[in-house]
Amino acid sequence: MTRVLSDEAVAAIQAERGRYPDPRSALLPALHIAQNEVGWCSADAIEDVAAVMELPTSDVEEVVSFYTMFYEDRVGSYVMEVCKTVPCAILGADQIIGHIADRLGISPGGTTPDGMFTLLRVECLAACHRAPVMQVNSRYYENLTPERVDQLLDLMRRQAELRRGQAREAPLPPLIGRVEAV
Amino acid sequence: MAEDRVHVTIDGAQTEVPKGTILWEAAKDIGVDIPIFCYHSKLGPVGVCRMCMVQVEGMPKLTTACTTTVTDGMVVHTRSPEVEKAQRGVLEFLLINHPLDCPICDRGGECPLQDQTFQYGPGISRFVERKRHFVKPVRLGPTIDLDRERCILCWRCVRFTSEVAEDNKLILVDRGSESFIGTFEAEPYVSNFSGNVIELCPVGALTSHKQRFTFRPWELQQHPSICPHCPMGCNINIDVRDAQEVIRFRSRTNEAVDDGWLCDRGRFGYDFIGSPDRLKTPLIREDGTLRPASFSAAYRLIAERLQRVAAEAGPHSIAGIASPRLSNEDLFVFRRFLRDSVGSESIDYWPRPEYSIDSGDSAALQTLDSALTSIDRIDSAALIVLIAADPSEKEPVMELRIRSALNKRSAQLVDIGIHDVPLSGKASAVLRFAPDQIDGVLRGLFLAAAREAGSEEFAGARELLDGDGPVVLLYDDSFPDIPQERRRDALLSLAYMVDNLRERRQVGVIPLLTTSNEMAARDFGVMAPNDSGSVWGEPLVDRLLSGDYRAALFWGANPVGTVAGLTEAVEALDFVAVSELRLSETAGLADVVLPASCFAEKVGTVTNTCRRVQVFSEAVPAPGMARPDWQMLVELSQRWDNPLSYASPEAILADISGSVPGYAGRLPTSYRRVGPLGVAVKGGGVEAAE
Repeated sequence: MTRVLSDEAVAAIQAERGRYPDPRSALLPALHIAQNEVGWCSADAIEDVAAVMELPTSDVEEVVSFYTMFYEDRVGSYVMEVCKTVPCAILGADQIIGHIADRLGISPGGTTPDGMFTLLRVECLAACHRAPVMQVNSRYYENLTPERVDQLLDLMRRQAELRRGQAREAPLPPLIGRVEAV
Repeated sequence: MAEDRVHVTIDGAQTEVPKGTILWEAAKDIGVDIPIFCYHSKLGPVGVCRMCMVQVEGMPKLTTACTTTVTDGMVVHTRSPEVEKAQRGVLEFLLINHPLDCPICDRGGECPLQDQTFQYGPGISRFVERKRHFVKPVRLGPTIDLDRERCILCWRCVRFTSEVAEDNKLILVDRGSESFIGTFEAEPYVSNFSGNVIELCPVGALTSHKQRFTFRPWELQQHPSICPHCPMGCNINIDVRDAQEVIRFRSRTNEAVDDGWLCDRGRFGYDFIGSPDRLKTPLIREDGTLRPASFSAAYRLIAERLQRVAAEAGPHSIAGIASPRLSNEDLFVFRRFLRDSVGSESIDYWPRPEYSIDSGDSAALQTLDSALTSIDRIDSAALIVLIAADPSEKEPVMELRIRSALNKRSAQLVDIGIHDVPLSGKASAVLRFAPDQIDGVLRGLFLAAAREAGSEEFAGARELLDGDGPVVLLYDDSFPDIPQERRRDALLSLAYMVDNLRERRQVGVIPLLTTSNEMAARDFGVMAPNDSGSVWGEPLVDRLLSGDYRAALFWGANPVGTVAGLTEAVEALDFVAVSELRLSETAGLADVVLPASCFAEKVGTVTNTCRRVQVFSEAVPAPGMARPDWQMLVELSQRWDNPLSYASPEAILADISGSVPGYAGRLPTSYRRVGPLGVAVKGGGVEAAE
């Protein structure tokens, strides 16, 4: 029945199910497991998760579409998730998003043709005290300015070039503006 | 008594309601109208639209009437300045993204959003920004078009698919102001029940693909009627334009039958009524071709030829085969015409099931008939048993009734059958068997020997059957999956099962029939006994193949093309007359064809699967010269020595009420007294057992 998830992923989801009084509650961790493995929440991945979770596929899709951190389309190596909610917006999130979009030649929701960068507008990342903020893969970059974004983009591209052909999720440079991890 | 009832004061009026009543329902009961969009009595509370804000004394803020349970002594205001301000605010928000395209919207004129904006809304909008835009319309599936800009995100359609139909087809995609209704991976919305979301939608977001842009609601007149597509007898309104054109069927809630739902087969199955191929005049075959003729010429020819056959070969050589789609009045007069005027007992209906049972088995049939119960008994059942039955296929809305009983009332389902059906997933116990083992399985559930043998697969079903509370058994009356020679065993075993269960529990039986008025065809004796005295042997249609008959009347029945070899057998008859809506295969072989009016073009009654007799009314005129079947038969009978003398369908109803066993004394003699929701005649074994 399972088509894209590995046996390990299925076992991990089953284990999550056991941790909740109502197994349905494990849907969010289950989707993270699936997304980590597949790279995004493809229709096949959703169907696999639904089968393991014993839920209708439509229920799973509702959850995937609700949370911005589940990707409904294929994403690039670096997923740049810029906060769009009020404190970041007041401190220039739109300018940051516009700047990244201009630099990469894509609009929010898009991925560069080389598959390296995806730009997303997301809901609050809970770092309003250092707005505007974005999350790239699993790291936070805060107090963003267009100059810092430029620096960051250059570093990420150089790093990717160095590591071309290696793991899909390239480690990020330990740099600028990064405060404590969440 | 007082403990389970509470007092509440709404806008100064006191009322007493059962504990647990939702405030909105309590207000509705005493005529206080609280505006709603998301709430629906059949779907339960969700509280997302915020339209039903009311003021409850002692509560610091306004609250939603649809999610508040009434408590004793509660004092509620639905018209205070605070409430009115909230209503204006909610409507202003709902209208932020709602397009002002009412003049071209199908819902305009019967739209809750339009009506409530007019009644409670602010009149002007302060919103000057850009509204959200979507591609529109989106084709959700074969029946439904979605306009996402009009959607106010009330979730009614989503809740319908997840809670009522339980096919989980519609979902809310994305979040917040960007959310919209969709399907998983934009797959088409295909369901037996999709049309219900059109009626549930409180705006013009979900519209009928078939009817889109073809009518305005205020042009339509409503005519109460009964869906003609299966024996469930769901109540419908036929909406008609200019007293001519059938525009749509809508549900006309009858709690005892349909619970307010329709299936798509019923809702969208009306094209045949105004179809251009309807027969408009009688036809008489001349030189091998059917040509238009007058009724008197047609009647004269039928009488002449049938009387000649009767004189030569006896009246029983004239076979009469009726469709169980005909109304009670038509079937009753067909039976009387054949027996009293023509003098033939060669009568049957088609299609019908065939069992090799004889008169000695009548006790078993009696048992099943005496246990016949009403559809709403499903609601109070503790156990529902399917026996080789698929309600979703035969009488689809029954599926929703069963789902509701299983979900809301903690009934349990046992599915005993040959293959999975849509309801199987809801079953607490499933018993599968080979087609020729049905009797062994049904008896095995009760026989001590089989119990001791303790077959594992029987254990679950047996445990449930041994429990307490009322049982409703549903079986497919035609046993389509059971070989013909085993159907007798199936019926007898079923009767055995009912007898056994009855010793301990209330038992009701619902037979799933095939054609809409099949129950009446049986009750009125539109089937002749065979040599062994049973009416259930080889159908008359099959006996036509033997060449024992000289003439045949097909009244709405069209077996030619379905029954192998029948074309030659019918061609070999001396005379064939057919009454039909259109030139069917059978009519194509006839010597005389009469144009019949359909159910939407006449007044009459039908008897549903649980023997509820319900009235349909005349919605549109019949095409051309087409007439009701009963009328043509009465007119035709005037050419015999024993003519029939009914002047109106109501006169036939009175005769049915006076003479048909089981109907006599229960069926009123006028349509007015049968009433808009019908009456149950003989049946309801549960009542009898109480």
